[in-house]
Amino acid sequence: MNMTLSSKECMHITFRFLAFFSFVQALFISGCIYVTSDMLLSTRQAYDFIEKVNHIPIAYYKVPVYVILSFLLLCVIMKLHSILKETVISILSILAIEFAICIFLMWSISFTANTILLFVIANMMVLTRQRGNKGLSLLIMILLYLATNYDIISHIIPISDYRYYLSVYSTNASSLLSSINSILTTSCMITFLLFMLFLIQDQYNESKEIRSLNNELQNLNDQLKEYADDREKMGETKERNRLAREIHDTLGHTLTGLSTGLEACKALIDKNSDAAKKQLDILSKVAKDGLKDVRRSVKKLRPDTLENHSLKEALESTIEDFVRTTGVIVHFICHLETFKFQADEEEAIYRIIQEGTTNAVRHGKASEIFISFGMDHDILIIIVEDNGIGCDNIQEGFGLHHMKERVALLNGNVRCYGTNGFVLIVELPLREEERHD
Amino acid sequence: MKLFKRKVYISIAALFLIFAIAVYGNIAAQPITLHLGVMAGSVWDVPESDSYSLLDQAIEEFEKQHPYVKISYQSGIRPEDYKEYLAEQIIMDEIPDVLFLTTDILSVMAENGTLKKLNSFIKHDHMDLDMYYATSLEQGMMTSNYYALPYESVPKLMFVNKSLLEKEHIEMPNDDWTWDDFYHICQSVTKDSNSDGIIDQFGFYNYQWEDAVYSNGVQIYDEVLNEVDLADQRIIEATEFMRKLVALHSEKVTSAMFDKGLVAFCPMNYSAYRTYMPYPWRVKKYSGFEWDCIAMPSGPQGDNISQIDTLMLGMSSKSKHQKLAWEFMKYLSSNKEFQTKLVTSSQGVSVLKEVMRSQDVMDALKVDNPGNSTFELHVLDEIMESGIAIHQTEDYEQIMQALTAQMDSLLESDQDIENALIVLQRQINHLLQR
Repeated sequence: MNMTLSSKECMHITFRFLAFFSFVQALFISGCIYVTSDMLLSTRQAYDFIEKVNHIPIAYYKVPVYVILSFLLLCVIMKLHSILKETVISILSILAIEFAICIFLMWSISFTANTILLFVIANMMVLTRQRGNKGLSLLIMILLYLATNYDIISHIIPISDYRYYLSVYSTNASSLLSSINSILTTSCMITFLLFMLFLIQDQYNESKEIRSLNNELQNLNDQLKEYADDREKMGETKERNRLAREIHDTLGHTLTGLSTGLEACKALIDKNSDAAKKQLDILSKVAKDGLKDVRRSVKKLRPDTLENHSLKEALESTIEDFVRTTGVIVHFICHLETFKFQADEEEAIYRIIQEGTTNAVRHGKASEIFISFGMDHDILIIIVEDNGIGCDNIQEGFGLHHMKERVALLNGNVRCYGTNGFVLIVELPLREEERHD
Repeated sequence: MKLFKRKVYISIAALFLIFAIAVYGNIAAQPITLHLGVMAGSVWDVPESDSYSLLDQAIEEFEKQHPYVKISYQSGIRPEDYKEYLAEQIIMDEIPDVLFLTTDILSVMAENGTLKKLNSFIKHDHMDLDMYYATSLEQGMMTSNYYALPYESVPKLMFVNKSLLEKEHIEMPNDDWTWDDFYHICQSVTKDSNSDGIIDQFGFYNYQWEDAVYSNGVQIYDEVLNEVDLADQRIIEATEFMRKLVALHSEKVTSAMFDKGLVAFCPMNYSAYRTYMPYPWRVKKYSGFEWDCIAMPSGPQGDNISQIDTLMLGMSSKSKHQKLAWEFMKYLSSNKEFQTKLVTSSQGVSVLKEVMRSQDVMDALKVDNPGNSTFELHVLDEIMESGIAIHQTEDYEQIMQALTAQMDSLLESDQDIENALIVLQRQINHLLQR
């Protein structure tokens, strides 16, 4: 932790130094241009000078003013950069503005120094958070840095070399001035390199910290998972206990009663057969009641698909939803007098209709579906028919398989034909006695 | 708080922008002033009394045509200070919109980007460049770009001491005279006239090697290839002729001898002819003898070709009113009325062919000349047509320095001319390539 702090601090210090050196260099060059030009004018050597130079971009007395103003503006923009939200567009536009100011500044000093760009690059490296943005901007800035070298840019825009200004002085003076300039350039380079070094160090520390935090998080996650597993197991046990209790309360009670009743019957049957018959009637009633209790218990355990509605309502709402979502026309024909079945049967019917309509659209691309319910003696016949592409060779998927299994449990059977659209015929024998229950 | 800070910075940036626009708008709202760079007196090194009056008339006329334009210039800049003045204006970034240019200034300023290329203006206006003498126009060109329009040209003529020729019973040569005529006259006038054992009458003064070269139809320096070709047969001929000519004089002829009337021929600019031929200068200079001017003598492969120097008009590449600057330059350079006034009141030749061919202009010029001048002014047109323009670039100056340093000794010795020229050519080309 101590280490991170110090590398961050070092980064800020080198950044300040970089700003200072690049500004001082620009100021130094502009000062040289100002003083030299002023001297040329007062000693009337202007023409000799003009004969040598390539181009004079701006009036000499404006150079220092432009340098100071553009540096200040650059600082304001950098501050703005640190406040603005980071998006690719905002980064690129801020970068473009900063670069334009830099170009202006460098142009006023004849591109003698482009170290101000290092300052901008450093600032961008600190402020840009996203790795992608950072890479892109760094690439652009480095290319610009290379392109704004005097030797390259002087081929593109007419500017005059700073050395021409120095050539006015004696050899000693001019070499002194150019070495000051070189020292400033080198200082900028070194501070920039140091800055980058500290930046890398800082990032390294940061990523190390992130990694350790990540590990911690992983550990906690694992613990949470274990805890969740425990909870699940506990739930399972609880549910098992409930089932056991339920079975114990209903079946246990009834069966115990029955078994004792039957024992009593066994004893009675020889002595008093009438009383035994009476007893058996009672026992039969108890068994029926027990069965009812079992049913009620099972009903409690059922999923809630049909819990809140009758089958008819449930089917109507499903079909309505289906029509609304798929746009298929569904014809529903019912030849039944009543629409009341056992709970397990209701669920099977509900699933068949759901699966049949879904298949018609998904596999058959049908636009019209016919659903009809009919009775043949005690057998319920459900036909789901569509006008889709059908299917020559029926591949039994999970849905169909599941449906067959479910119907088979209720002693029914499923047939299907795919030659002319798709026809699904389900025969479901209903349990007689319960129907009239 | 953060939002507030952001707002503050955005408003600072916006203020900067508004301020910049306001300053620019303020500048744009002012009436347009065109600055003109001009020198006092004559650029041709002759006295001139009222150098600005013609320009003032032109400015007045132009301002009448363009009511929102004012043209201003700084007066009193002597021709010898003009270069320095322009250089100072460049350093202060206050270069005049339109400036008068001599050929040496032009080459420097075209190279360092001070001058605007005029190609697009010429193309846009469909300007008929054939109205100019090709030589005058060419002087404003560098590397096949137009940098200046010609304003006034001055051809080199040959001054003839008429009194001396009369004394020696030699007829005045015609305007299509040759090197042979020139040599024979020089030969016959070079003598000891008062028989005191010293030669006191000379053929020529200040006739240079390059005068002979140009009149033999050849140029020394190829700007495009950046090299000299001294091995050309015509240059060899010219050099041989010069050696013959120099051999006539056993001692050095000075300007004092010329002023005393002891010399028959001397190359002289048309400007000097125009200045010193009419009254009052006529009385002040060369008063002891009668004189006149003719074309330069022609070489065997050349013609009566003169060097032509031209004063030009250029435009600053930083001018904010380039369209107007161009209009003004065009007015000075190609307006026939103005050019007619210029040729009659100034010391140069108009750069417009039509003006120089007009009878009215010829008559007006003749009025100034005394009755005994036989110089046919229509010859000026021929001279202008056949003359050559020299671009006095830095390279050219360097070549001429190197050449004159060695030419004197070559002409005075009996070295093989062809070999010596080849050696010289190699030296100079080596120098140029560096």
